[in-house]
Amino acid sequence: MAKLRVLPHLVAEEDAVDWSTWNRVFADARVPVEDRTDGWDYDQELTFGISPTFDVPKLLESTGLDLGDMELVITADCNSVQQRFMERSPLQVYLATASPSIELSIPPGQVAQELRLTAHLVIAHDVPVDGTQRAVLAGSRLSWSPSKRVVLEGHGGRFPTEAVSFNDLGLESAAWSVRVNVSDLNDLFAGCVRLLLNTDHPVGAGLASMDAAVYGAVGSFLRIDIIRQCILGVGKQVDELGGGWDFSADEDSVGFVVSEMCDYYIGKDLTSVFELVRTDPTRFERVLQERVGITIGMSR
Amino acid sequence: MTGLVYPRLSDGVARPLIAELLDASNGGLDSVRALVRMTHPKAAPVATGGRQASESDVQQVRESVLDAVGHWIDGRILPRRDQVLFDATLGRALHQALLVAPADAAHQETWNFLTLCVLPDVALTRFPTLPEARGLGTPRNALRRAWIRYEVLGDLLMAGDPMLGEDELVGLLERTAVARNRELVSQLGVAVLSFNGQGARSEFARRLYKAVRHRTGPLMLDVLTSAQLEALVHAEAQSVRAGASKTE
Repeated sequence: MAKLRVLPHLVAEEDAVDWSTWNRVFADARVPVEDRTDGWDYDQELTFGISPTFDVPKLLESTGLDLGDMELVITADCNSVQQRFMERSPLQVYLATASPSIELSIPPGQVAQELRLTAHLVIAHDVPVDGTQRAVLAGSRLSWSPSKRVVLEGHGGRFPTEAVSFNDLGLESAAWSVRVNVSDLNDLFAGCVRLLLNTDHPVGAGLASMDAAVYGAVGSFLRIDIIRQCILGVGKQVDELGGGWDFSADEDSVGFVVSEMCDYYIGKDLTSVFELVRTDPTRFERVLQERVGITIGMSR
Repeated sequence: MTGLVYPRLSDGVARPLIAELLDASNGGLDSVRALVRMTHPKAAPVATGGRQASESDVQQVRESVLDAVGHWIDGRILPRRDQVLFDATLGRALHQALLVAPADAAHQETWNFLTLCVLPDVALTRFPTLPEARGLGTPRNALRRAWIRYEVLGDLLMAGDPMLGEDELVGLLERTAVARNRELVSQLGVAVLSFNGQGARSEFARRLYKAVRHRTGPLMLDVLTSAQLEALVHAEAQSVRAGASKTE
């Protein structure tokens, strides 16, 4: 059990419960929970599970209760949204399951920053007083796991992406669309550029759900399209400024980020790349394909 | 639907805006309103997930909030007697207009943008000196605190005569053992509004919250039904009243 807490009733002997470790549960896999959750965003459900094991004789003897009196509860506390999410299971039902596990699903968009996961064993209902010190009130705590802290949101940059229905937006049924809207090269990159993934389209939906097969098939085409649109959107502004703009000061600016893209992917500065776009757009496309690369089965 | 995500403004960009707004407030309401904006070049929504609020969505938020509290926004200091009703009305208006993803509302930078760009006149009406804790999107931010109170309590926030006051609300929502159990928070709110005993209601509330918090040690209140919670809160309220009468 975590932390010493003195309770006014009998609790489970410490080695009557092995809480085991937390898993993150996906449709086709269970993955041990790390301190930081990767690849999660506000559009995704989060499901956590745990599979404690019990020494039943020790449990019954130390608490003075019956199995039917107890239930397993797991909680996810999110301080930043000031809410606690909970799932529960009668202990008898849990133990009767072939591969027991108790799981908690948190709907998309409901939590942020970090969670604390805890598992508890409590009394499910009021129990008659029998003159012993056993717990009698519903909700009485019998045992609990150490809390597992999970960081949901880091500080690293991710490409601005939004999964939306193109039908709802009145857009053509493309798999994706790169929206670049630059009025000033010093504006935030994240505010000017957005990848829209069409959830009505199987490829768009696959990309939105980070399906490995879909990424493998179209990932390099998507990457080329993003870079092309960014260069075209920003290059026009640079062109209008006559190349006299210094965007080196602000690393979050759209000008700086796209300039870095040109250096990294094409090996030229933005002005030179846009000159190529203007004078020989066909060659620009070939350069883009050669330098970024078209592959099948690339990881995301 | 996960809810909308709004542009986020970093603290570094937000702080100078507070100074600019305070300076403008010396020139009256029109000067403050001249600084209202629905976008900011340094503001951007979260990189992934959620549907981004459009500029017209943001405009609609401002219009809806002003429909609700605009009659108080007249360049004068909000009368103390109106503060509770103002906060509750603001919270309801924000809840109904923003449709913000709770995950997005959990971020300080979201409220930096909404407070300092979209609704600075509302914030200044409530807190004319706009200290950082009220201007930046901290949990005590002028708009954020109103929003979260309505999120948790709903129309209970508008109920009662008198309505739940500042001290009663702070005590209800500041301790995590209680605040994260929204059913319990509602039950406590009802108990406070039902108080008809001797002495100050806020003192009764303070003692009741403390008594219930004490119960969360041996008991996991989250697993209790509404009826069980109601009974527990009722029993503790009676005990607090009995204890108060003994000391008087």
